[in-house]
Amino acid sequence: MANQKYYLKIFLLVGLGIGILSSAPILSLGNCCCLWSIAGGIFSAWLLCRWAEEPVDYGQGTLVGLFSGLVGGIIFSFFKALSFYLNPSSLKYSLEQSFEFRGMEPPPELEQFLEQLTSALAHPLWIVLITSFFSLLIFAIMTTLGGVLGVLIFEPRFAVKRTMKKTPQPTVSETKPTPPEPSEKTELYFPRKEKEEE
Amino acid sequence: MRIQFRLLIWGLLLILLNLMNLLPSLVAKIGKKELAGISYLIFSPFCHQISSRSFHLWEVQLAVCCRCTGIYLGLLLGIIFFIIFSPKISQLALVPILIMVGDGLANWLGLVSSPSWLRFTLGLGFGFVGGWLLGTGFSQLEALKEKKWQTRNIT
Repeated sequence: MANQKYYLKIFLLVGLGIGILSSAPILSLGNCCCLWSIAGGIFSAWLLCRWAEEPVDYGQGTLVGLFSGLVGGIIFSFFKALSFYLNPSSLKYSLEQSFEFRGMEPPPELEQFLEQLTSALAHPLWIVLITSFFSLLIFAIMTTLGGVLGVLIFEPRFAVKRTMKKTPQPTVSETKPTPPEPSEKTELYFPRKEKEEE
Repeated sequence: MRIQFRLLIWGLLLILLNLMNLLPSLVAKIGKKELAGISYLIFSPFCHQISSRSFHLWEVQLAVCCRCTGIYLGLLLGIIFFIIFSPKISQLALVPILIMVGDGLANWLGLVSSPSWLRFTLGLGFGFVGGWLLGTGFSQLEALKEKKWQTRNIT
């Protein structure tokens, strides 16, 4: 339970990193095949193993991975929603692009469908919410996987370091007590020594 | 039983994710092609979605590439495998992960060009081990929570 105090720090640190890397214009390309999410999960497990005072198990790796992913997913979804909110036509553009990118003609019903969907769901923000839910799910799964993977890779190494730190090493002062210097002045009174000197 | 129940929820979420991947083909089959856009939009930040590297079902491209399809399917199979057999994880589990990472790097550097079936198979291996790891992690998380409750009750 001593490792608990590091959880919040890891959630925020790694979550912020994942969220920003996944949302930034050029850096977000690295999220292909969930690279940032898995790497973030592994990094959170590495941090936990490094700071931990007690052995780290897969459960703790799962916990830090899961919550780091959720924080990262919320930040990512926020930026995505913000871009759709500031530029509402970008949603339609993104949908059309998704067809054109595949060499497919956007179906003529797409515009009508969007209108229907908007009227049915009252607000286009619902589409953003649906996409955000799945983004959160993917982030959560991949960072959790990274967290458990990180514990599997790093914990055996850090466990050895932790054991070495805990085992007390014999120091020089314990094995051989140093005698006081012969020239050292003491406050003790030696009358016989004074007589001899006289 | 509670551990199994929580894992079942994760299994259901993974089924949902796999269905979202199949959605473009399924909706095209029923003549609602425009709905496919949402599925493509959901997965666009997580996958390159290049047509030549993706599977096509009923002449419609799936939402993610072959490798990601393998990963999502593998995750589901791995969780099911863990629910049924509950095997212990070892460092050997890293082998399929390293092979897939190696293949991905080699393709990215342009050293090789793996065919779709190989990408899918390697993704499936990665996903299967991933699902197994997730199962192990969630079951230990449950044990951790129970331990915490016991400590709280004693104090």
